[in-house]
Amino acid sequence: MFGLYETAFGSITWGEIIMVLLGGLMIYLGIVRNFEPLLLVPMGFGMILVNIPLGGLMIYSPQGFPAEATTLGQLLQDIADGKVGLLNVIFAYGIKTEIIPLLIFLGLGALIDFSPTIARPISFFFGATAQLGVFVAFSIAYVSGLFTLNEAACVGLIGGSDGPPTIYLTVALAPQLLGPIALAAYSYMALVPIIQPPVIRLFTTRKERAIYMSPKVREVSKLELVLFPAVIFIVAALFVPKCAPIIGMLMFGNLLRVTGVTERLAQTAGTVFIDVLTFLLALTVGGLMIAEVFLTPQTLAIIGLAAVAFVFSTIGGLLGAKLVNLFLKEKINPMIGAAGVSAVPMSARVVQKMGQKANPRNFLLMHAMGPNTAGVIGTAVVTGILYGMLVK
Amino acid sequence: MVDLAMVARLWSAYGVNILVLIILLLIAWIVGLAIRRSRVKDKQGSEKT
Repeated sequence: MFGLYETAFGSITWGEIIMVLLGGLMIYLGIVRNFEPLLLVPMGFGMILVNIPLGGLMIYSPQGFPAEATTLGQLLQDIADGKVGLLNVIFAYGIKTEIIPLLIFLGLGALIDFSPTIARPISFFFGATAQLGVFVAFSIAYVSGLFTLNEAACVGLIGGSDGPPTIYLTVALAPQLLGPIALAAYSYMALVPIIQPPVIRLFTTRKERAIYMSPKVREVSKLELVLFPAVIFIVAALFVPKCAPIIGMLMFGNLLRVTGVTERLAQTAGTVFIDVLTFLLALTVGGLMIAEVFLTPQTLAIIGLAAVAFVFSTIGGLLGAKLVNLFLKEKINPMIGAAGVSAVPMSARVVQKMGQKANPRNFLLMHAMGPNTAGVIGTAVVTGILYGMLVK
Repeated sequence: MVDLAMVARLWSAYGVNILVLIILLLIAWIVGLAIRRSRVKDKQGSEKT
């Protein structure tokens, strides 16, 4: 009787058992601790799906890369023959082609309100200086010898605190590291409320944290809101052409949001559309985490370097705000610079909470949202610059 | 072997990033200022008539 079918018990390795447990841990963190549940739950389940042997959802080549059909015409036959699985197809045609990360950015654009950035354009400066962690983590990763130049750039970009651009660059430069890099990028975003406060306390005085900023932010006209995505896209793409796909999608999504006549499109892009793409991305990225690829010293290094990247990006934002304060009569609270790390809206919430603790009169959320959303643009620009420099 | 010249080149990307975002800052500021000024002028014009 037992000869009639095959079980996976005999084939499962210790590495796969560890990966299944890690997948379970991610699902636990998502459900019980509410750490980025929309990403960690599908990612964790994707890990479990591919680490049960003989399942065939994601087939790997002997070199540890996801198997691919040679041509689109061959695809159906390869699926029938069990040479590629469901997740292979999503990876090959959705992620490797960069379609899913870019379309997620479109949905993100439809969700972001850029009016705090428009009202206080200096936010752009904080969004730029807060990319410091990208370069610090890159340098450490590369000099350590554990990573090649291209891999180190992708590890560094985790410091941009934005998932889709990190995935966009990693697919182009180091697809073999996509699993651990995506995992670190998304998990650390959930850890922003834990990582940022001690760094902010270390780099600001109590007096600085208590600086009062009037909660009133200039009202932005509809014309400004509509012009913003078009103008920012044109200028950014002229200076950094390789950022055009990312910033183009982001700004297109935002234009849908602000026109006033494309509400249905914006609503779809910001809800169902982005949700479907996110779980496809997260499930497939989870499917990239097989034991042979994931349980390596590189993965541990990525997890450590991601923390370094987040810390230095926070420092970069704070130093940017302190620098600007040297030239201002009416000082700004330097904590709002820390929100330039992107990670919308977690880092702005951290600043709001710390601001109120230091001075109960303070209401910094809208001031922090400016650098926060400018950080998304900053990360897109950095991605474009690195892409232009490193992708041959 | 670590190519320190390449590390330095990539660090220059940080500077380029800051420069590009400062340009975006200036453009956003100028566009905002121009729109607000034209609104004020329009308002003053309509008040006169």
